[in-house]
Amino acid sequence: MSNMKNIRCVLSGFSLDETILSTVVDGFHRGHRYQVVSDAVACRRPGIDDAASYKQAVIRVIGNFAGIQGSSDVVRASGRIAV
Amino acid sequence: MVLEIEPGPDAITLDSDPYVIIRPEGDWDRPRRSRHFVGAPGDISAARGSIGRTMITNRKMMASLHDDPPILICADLQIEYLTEGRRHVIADADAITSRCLELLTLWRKQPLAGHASETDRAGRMVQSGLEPDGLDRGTETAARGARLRTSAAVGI
Repeated sequence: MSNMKNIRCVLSGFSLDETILSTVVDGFHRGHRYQVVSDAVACRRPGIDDAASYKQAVIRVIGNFAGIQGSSDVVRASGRIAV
Repeated sequence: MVLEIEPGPDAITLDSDPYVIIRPEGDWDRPRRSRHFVGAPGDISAARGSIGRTMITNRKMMASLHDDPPILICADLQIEYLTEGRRHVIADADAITSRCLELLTLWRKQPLAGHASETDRAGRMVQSGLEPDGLDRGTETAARGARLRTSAAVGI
């Protein structure tokens, strides 16, 4: 994992409020820097309130530990992935 | 005995950036091993600010890298969430899976930096561990013609 400091890591998938959240928080304290693609991450459905609000709240928390970008930001006009 | 001295120009204070304060490896007086965000002590001022401000400038700092480090795309696609009777747990799973595949496909087509050959690209699928509830992790899911199996972590 020490090599993680020498690469730019983009996170996507699920679930946002479990594995991705724990990865960015734990990695943050190890000096790893992640970019999370906000529209390429899925979140568990909360027991209360609506799923969209819950996801936004989790993304705000994650934003304290990682960069947040949309897929349109990650995929440039050239079709290349860049962060 | 207390000696009152002027703090150094790069003194670390409570107002210092968390990236500077949090140094699990110690050695605050030496350049950070990671070249990415904090360099020599003289560079600390560039990284000062609140956590939120730092995160906003995170991208800028990454862009300031003088070299071009490779990009790693990690897509956690645990199909355990998508098994029968559990699909409702994850919101928009199909749409998100498709988007992840699009990103992975784009990334896989991306030329490697420098003189690296395509055979150097270390893409691979990583199978996640068995879930605590004992769900079968052997199930596959299909999305846009590609078949995924549990978590996908893709290398350079």
